[in-house]
Amino acid sequence: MKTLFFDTGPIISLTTNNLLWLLPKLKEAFNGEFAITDGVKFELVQKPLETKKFKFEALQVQGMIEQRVLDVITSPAIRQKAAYLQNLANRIYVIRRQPMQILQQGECETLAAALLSNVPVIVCDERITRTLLEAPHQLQELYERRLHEKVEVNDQALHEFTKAVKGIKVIRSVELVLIAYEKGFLDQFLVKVPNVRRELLESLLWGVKLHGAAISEDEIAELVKMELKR
Amino acid sequence: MDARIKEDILAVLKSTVDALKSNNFTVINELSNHTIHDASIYQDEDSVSTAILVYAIGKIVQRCTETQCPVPPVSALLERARDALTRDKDGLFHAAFSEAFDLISKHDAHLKMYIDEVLNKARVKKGSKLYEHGISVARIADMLGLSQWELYSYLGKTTMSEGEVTTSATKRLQLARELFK
Repeated sequence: MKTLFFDTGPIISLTTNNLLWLLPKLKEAFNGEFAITDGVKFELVQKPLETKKFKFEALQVQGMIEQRVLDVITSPAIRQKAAYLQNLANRIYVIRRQPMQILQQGECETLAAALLSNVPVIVCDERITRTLLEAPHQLQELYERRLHEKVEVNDQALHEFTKAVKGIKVIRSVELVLIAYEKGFLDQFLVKVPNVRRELLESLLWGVKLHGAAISEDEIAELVKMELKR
Repeated sequence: MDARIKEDILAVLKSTVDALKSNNFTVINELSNHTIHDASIYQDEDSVSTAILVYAIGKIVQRCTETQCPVPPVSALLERARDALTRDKDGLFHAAFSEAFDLISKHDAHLKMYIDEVLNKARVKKGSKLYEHGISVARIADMLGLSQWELYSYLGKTTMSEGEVTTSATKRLQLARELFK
């Protein structure tokens, strides 16, 4: 059975937009398993339950886990691979002879799990992880721009990291809601207002953006236009 | 403590004490960002807690100025922290910081909810600055003791979460369509 791994951000984005109910339908369309790692579950459920905010949201995610919509997967192999990836990622950029610690174990566990599974795709809303995977030199530019310092790249660590994550692709909560839209899961919201399809698409995309998904205004406009043309 | 971090914290503490003399909360709020630069690079607790403490002081001074309540007498503790840091007494520096956090937390029972909120907001705001500097959400949440729920909710309301376009939206959607066909 194929398995798609989720990072923390997309589940947060779906929950805070009252769209978590889409997950079982998307899972059915995927025809495989949806999974998170132990570290991601900790961030999604245990941690908010210890604070005043987001307790209700945490309970909703726990519900998805209990209904087996989301599997929680952990294994020594995932943890070991994650530690290896984290060690590499956190040695790539060097400022003032200091390697920058940019990724945490949780993010690396999602990557590791995807590498060890049969679906080389992760669902991730976070721009740092995504940029590190897709365009690592853009991160160097970002650090130099933001920190006003010369940033060295440890070529060996970058090469090894790039080789280790080769083939991994990223989709975001943005793409998940568009798939849900295309499959008609959101048709109940096609109410009687002018240009309702445009309104629905914009409401969905702006919703996920405003809850942290890495998408620009231009991308939203492009995606809305593309969907309306279909 | 790294010499550069120490130098920056000392400078921020001095300027904060100066600004407190005239309750200049605008300057204090700006000062809170100065140690974020170090916090992004070294990810040390001292730069992070300096940023949070100074931000919280700025917000409380602002509130006290607007509502005419007394400003917590935090300057003496900041001076103590400075003195300890100058003499490389890191333990005493941390103790003075801890007392300063305590003092503003317990300053006024009526303000308690507000101050709790300010301290939490200070973490989220400084977290967003770290994100702007290119640290991942998970790493920041860990550094500041925040939940990722809080960070994502705040970041979404800024343009920081956008990032650079590394793969076209069309290509990414095509990939998703293939997964869900």
